[in-house]
Amino acid sequence: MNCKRVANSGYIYPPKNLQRMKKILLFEDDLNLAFMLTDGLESEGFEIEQHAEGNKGLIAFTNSTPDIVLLDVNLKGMMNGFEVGHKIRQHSNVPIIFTTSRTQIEDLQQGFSIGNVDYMKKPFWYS
Amino acid sequence: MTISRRVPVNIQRLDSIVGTELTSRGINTLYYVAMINPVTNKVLQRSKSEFTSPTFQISSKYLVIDIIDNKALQLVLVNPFDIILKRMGLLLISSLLLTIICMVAFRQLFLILARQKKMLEVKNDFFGNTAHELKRPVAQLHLALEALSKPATLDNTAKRERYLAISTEATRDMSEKITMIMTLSMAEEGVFKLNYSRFNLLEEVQKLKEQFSGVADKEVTIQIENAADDCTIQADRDHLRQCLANLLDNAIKYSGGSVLISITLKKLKDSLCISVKDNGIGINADKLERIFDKYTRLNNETGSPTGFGIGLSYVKTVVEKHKGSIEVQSELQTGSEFRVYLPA
Repeated sequence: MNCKRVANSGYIYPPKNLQRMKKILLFEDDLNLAFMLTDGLESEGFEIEQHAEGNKGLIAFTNSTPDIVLLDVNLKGMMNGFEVGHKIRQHSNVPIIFTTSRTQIEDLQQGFSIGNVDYMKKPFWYS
Repeated sequence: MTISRRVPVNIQRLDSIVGTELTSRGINTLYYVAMINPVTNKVLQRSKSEFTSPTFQISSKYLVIDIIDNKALQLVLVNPFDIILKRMGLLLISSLLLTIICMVAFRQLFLILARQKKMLEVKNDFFGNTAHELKRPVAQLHLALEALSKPATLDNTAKRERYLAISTEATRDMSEKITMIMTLSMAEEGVFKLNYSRFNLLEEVQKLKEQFSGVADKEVTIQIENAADDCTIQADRDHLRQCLANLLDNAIKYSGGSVLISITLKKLKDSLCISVKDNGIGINADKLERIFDKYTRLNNETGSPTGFGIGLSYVKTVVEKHKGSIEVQSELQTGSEFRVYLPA
């Protein structure tokens, strides 16, 4: 598996612990970005399941066991990414990476309070 | 030896002398003279007994006349404020006016400072949002071009087409945003000019319907109702199309899982009315008056749609440049209606 640096985020993609992982649950409401992430990660050998709505994604989470969750904060439907993160954490300690442009201090506090969380600030690209 | 031992003080005569002296100095007010024990402050004798209340009285300093027997004289003016006001009125009024002017000036100063602080915050927010709004399509374009450079993507027609469509959308998105920023900047500097041409507005609306029906990731229904016989209009086609696109974009962004948008064209006496009505989330009544303010985003909470707060300001600027007007009606959880009136 090739490792790449994700521009303007300081990330090595995929991170070491991610290199063993196979299944990613992606919460993303921007269909274009979701398509590109899915395509890019699938071409790296990952299995991706994408949902634009928090509720539907949570149902998928209970039916499958993803190795990592990529979670946007802005989602379609009634739940935002933070609420989805808290729901996931009630049942599992799976690593969550917030992929969002909202990285104000309050947003970071809200996200990190969930535990076993990291942030990847949008917009990002592979380089 | 003190005065009292040589000449007994007749307080009534003293009162009379004081009265003559006060009148000669133009002080025509009630008064009395009192003899007082300066040690105990007890009044021993007074020339007039009717002014017992100390309210509205001005007393002089004690004039000691007998140190051994502790006697002093005091002149008390009763309610002398009429005279004070007459003599110092102008001075007092001018002081009062000066004080009021100073207070108003300070208030204005604080208001201006508060407004400047607010404007600085709005400007910083705007730059932050703008940078993000422009970085987003750039990042999408970057990702799409990177994918397109891979042989695996180029060989897959469906994927290639999708990446090309994303690239086109991203560049158009950027171009529209830059045009809006430039338009507002030019309008602020007073150099914004329209490029007039004669065209059919209904055709533009139909093109927008096609453009917006397909791209959103939610169920979008756009209905067009044409109540005007002739929709030909003299206007700047590009700017007007962008205005309607902004209204449609907002209607889609600020709605639930699906949205119904009705666009109505109506010919009035000397204008053409374009109404864009949706059944979206609506706008709070207290925020409605700020909706066209420049660089103002009404919805900044987490989870709200992205934007940088110039869409409706741009619409208003362009419509007013056409010598038209725009109005909005909205109700929370029911929807909003924007009506644009353009001279026909």
